[in-house]
Amino acid sequence: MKTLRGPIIILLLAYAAVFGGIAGILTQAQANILSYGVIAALVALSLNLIMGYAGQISLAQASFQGLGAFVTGFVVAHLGASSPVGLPASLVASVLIGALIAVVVGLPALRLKGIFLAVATFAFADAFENYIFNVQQLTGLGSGITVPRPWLGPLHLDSSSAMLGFGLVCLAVVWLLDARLLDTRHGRALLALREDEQVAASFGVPVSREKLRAFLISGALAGLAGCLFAYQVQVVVKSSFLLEVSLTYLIVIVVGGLGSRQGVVAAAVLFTLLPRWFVWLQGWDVIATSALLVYTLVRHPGGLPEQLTEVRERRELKRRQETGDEVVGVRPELRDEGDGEVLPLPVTGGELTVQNVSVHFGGLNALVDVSLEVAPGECVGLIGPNGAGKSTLFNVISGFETPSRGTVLFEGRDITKAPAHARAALGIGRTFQQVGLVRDATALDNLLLAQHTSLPYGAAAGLLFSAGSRRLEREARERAKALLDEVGLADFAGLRVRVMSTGQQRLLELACAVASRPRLLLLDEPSAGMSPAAAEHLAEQIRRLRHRYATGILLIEHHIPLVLALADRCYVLDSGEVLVSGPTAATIGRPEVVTAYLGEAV
Amino acid sequence: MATLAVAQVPFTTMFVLGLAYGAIFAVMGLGIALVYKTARVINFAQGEIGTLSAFVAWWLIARQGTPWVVGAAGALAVACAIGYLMHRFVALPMREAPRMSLTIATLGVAFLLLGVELKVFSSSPEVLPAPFTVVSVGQFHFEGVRMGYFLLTPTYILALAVAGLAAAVLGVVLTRTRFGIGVLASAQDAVTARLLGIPSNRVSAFTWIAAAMLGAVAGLLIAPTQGIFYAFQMSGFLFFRGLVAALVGGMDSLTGVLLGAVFVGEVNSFSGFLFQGNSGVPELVLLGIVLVVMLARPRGLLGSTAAA
Repeated sequence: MKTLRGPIIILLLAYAAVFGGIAGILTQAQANILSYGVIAALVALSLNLIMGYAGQISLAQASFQGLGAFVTGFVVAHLGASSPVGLPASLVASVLIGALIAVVVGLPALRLKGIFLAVATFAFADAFENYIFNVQQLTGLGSGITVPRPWLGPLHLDSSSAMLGFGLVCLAVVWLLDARLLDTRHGRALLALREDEQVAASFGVPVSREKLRAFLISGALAGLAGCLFAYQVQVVVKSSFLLEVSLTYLIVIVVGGLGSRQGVVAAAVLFTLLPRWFVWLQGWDVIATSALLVYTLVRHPGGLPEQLTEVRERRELKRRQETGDEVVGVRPELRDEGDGEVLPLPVTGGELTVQNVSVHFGGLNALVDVSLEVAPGECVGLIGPNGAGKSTLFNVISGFETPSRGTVLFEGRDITKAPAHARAALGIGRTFQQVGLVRDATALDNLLLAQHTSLPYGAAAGLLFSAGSRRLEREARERAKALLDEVGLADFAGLRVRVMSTGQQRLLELACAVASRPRLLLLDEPSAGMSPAAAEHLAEQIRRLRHRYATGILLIEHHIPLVLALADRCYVLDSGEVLVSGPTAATIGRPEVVTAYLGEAV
Repeated sequence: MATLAVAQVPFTTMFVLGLAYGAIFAVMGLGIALVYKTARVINFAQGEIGTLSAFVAWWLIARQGTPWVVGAAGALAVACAIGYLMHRFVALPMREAPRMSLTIATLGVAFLLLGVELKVFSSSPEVLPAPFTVVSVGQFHFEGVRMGYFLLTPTYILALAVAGLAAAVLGVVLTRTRFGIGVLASAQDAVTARLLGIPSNRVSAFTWIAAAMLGAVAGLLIAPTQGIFYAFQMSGFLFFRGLVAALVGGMDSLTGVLLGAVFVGEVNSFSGFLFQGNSGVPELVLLGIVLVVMLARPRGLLGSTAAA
């Protein structure tokens, strides 16, 4: 129960805080500072979720928190200070308003990326600071609004140590949910988003929805932190939520290590405590912390946690080299299984029909009137010189490109306009020329991500450890391990993809492509960057997986021996048009194909 | 109440003021666009360089009693140093880093400069005197152009002149000199430019220094018009407006930035005067503009349509 370790430690700390406060071991001044540290940790976790996990920048995090705090003040003012429902009502209200506003701020993220998203959230933060937080009725302007300490049922949380205890309980719950999130399909979808939206979509992740969900959860968390902040500070003023405060949280999570729960929480607490411990710094702390941020980004972009991971990985890789089990191959006992040339199962489904597809980029005709068919279970090659339009055709089939003319039918259904993630869910898997994996996630997580569409549980069910989601996750994990074992990567389950060799990454990508049980597999130059020997290995793996999972394959490949070994038929594309098609060996030998590849004979 | 405000400030005054502020935003926006052109990042420290420069000038002029010109020269020298340091210790080592990381690093620099303003200079609002209130040439004394109750002081006129000059110099350097063409080439394709023998390090240094000095000029021009200025004020005001100007006009086009700045200056002026009771309205309007422009025409209204 590794997931429970963090929350249990935090709950013990909460217990210690409450009784330390009663016994007088923990002074109220100390508890006060620590309580701000815990609240900062909550905001940092909310920012970490959106930036560290989902890779979307937000410069408005303090605005979300501020809105939560002011809404808490509003609720308390209307319910009365001693109302027994004041605390729960304000908690719910601030969480809801934080989530709502974060989704609004996140909407531009559906179109904007990277620094332009930074600009958009910056503009929102500016508008909050100068407009919304200047609404007298909500924020009381200069004098602020007064929020008395709340009642938790019969208990009056009137001391800072009691508030600290309550804050720690909240932190424990958030920690648990945050840890759980990464074990669910929705959390893994965020990691895929951070890496590459195309890769995420090819895994069947609905990119827009998951992005907004990330903003929603992040805003809800920041709202919660705002509520606690209001009760802790008791007089809420807008200067606590200015743009520079958002920047401070950015510093905290970068220095703590983007994506690292422990690092981010530790950094948030330390950044709150240090300036108060070292009061003699008198303003130099701003200079020191920002210099630390710049230094971290320039020298150690992942922060301390990243360095620890790297050290661990290097040690593991070294151990593997020493024991000599670095070589990846087909395990002998599996080798014979798929050797038969006849498919073991009668294959149904997966037929693809591309009809008269044309794609124009400006004046360039990338594809002209291309038609192509893949029958159920058939392996079809797609060859042609560079720039012939092969990858464009793949993008049309998998939904990253909309054709100007023509239709794409999958299993008789018109999918010409369906979004990429929906096609993945329908049963079209694909690999990329540049390996389409989440490089910062482990091999196991990539295989779990690949099963995104076959794990039908909701976000809430996943977060709340529902029995159904736990069973589905367990099964997915077993399938992932079995697949890793099949392609000979079982030992690499816990290693991040970025430290694996190209050959290993290709094999993993292949395993990911079949993990979702597609009925049609699009392979884009699977042997690119591999040695001839490794490519031969790969051919064997592809043939075996094809027979085992009874899937049709459309294969782009420059390495002709691989095409000859795998493809029943092949199409030759040249300058966006189908030059010839037919049985592989006969077609490749035809003079016009040789000409297209090598130029006119002299 | 809004109608009352309109009655008090004539249309032409709002327009001319918008133009004058637009000129200052243009100087800021040119610095942002210049860095974006070559490094593909938005330099979030640009506004803070302006504020820090204003503080340097204030310290020299108001505290040390030096003439205005010396104060301005000192501020420009400091900005030049900041620009070089950003190139040498941030941009250069992060040449291969993701653009987002470099952008966050510039946020860190902004924060660092804020710390310096608070610690080294002043944490309270200060007054940077205008370069001149009366321009005297022999018998002729010029106090500014009177427009109703509003006096268009020489500072505003200077702002217009300096903005025009800065844009002209930048335009000439970038399009008429060998070095400038090298800068533009690097902006198009850094790797090829390096292979062609364009000194990418010097190009980068030039970009960051020139941008920092543009930031300083904008800071020195805007501080006197604001009455008081204080730490971090510029990031919300000057930087944001310069950024919107650059985005609206299109980061790739100098003319676009100038026109965008005039537009933002007018928007700022009109929305500010028409809703005098609420200083947040211009921010709200600018937010709307930013979103519409970035979502509907991500390359700006005049930017090139070619892919980045």
